Amino acid sequence: MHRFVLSVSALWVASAACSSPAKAVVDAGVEAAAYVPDYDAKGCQTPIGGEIPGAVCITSLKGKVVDENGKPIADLVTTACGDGCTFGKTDASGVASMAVHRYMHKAAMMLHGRSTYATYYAAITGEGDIDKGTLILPRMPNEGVTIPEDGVATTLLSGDVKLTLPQGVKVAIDKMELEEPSQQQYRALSVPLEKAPAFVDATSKIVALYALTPFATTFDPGVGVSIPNRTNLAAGAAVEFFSHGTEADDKYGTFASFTKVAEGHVSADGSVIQTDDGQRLSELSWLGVRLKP
Amino acid sequence: MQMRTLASILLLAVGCGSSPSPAPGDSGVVPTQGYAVGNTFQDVSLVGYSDKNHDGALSPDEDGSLTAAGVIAANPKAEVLLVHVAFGWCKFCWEETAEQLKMTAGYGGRFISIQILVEDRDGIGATKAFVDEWLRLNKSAMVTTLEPEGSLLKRFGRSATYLLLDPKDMKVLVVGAGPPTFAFVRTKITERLGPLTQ
Repeated sequence: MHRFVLSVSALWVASAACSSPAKAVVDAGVEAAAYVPDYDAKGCQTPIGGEIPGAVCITSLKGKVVDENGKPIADLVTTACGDGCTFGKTDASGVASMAVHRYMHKAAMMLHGRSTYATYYAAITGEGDIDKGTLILPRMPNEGVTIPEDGVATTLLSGDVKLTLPQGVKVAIDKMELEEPSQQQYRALSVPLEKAPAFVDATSKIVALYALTPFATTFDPGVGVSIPNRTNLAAGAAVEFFSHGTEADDKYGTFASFTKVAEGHVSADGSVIQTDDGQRLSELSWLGVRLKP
Repeated sequence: MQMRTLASILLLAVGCGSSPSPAPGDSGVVPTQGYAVGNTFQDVSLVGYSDKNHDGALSPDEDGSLTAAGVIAANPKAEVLLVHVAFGWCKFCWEETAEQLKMTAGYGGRFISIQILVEDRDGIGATKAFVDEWLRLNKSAMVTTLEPEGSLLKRFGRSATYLLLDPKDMKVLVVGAGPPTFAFVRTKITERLGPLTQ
């Protein structure tokens, strides 16, 4: 094992020391000797798999990430994926700038809050130089609740949001992204609607919004949800639960968007809003509630 | 085929020469913009884990002598080889690993794949520790490596990339990048091997 580390290190060091005079910067600062991207008239590389139907040329992507108080978040990993992935990180002023130069469709910028902050995908629309403006990423509660992974029926409460896990539920936490046990704990944060991410359509009449972590944790079957009726919806009223889709194949709701995933009702005494029997939330991301139209 | 040893790689690097010359027998085509269908894959020297003892368990290949050609030679039933250049910060790369594992198990040796890890979650060059963690978290039994020379990275930039190769001649059958393209790659694999039966 030790020999392995030495050999890899030696190779990396030797490689780094051997810069060619003909350098080109590829994407976010990767120096690649003798690699000179050949951009087309729009400023994008020719798609390596051939023309991508419906794709648009994204030359650069920028966004400033701040917390709920407007304080810049530094050193936050941001990635953009869609027919190729691009890596970025915020600087001290919270700004992430990524050179993309790639044709993309169904692309989104992921803000990797890693349970310290909320996480979400900001859909990329338009083409050319994209500026997502200021992106609010609220800080999650410091304390979380351990999510059992042994299939036992239980309830988990964080903040306002109670999850009811059925017997035999299979839990999949994104441990590749969230390596620390503390990052894998359940947390829920009530987010004021005026600080909602752009994927929450202002016309959708969402009345309550929550950020949930660990982001993209999935439940099979899904879990029941219960929240206090803080907006005083009428007792017995029918509601819809919305979720932010994290899967590119729209498995748990439209990717990078906010779509209905379950139905529910306000309890007879008006105290709580809960999913109906058989209606479930299949992944943790962002949760919204509105009256059923 | 190129079967560079650690010593030869170090000599090349220390010599600070230009791009490595194609080995005798290669087509000589070294794409600067990535590969296209029909190109011959220019083999790379890898360090990581493979089933070099043919006992179904991964063991370390530490000296840079692991190559795509070597993986093919160890899997004579292989009909396609998927080379996946992956990044730790790329959520989709993790997810696609599960897909690859299903195909590896389901096609019973007709499908083989190599994952080449380039960077960790924070965009820093992958290390052996990261390769170990990748294998552990994915419960992976596929060839998982680093490519110390970084030649694939130089050709593709920071982009999750797939190359589907014909093991007979290392010709590129399919090129893809990014999450939507993996479905396309999977379709092409199904076309060649039929639907998964396991």
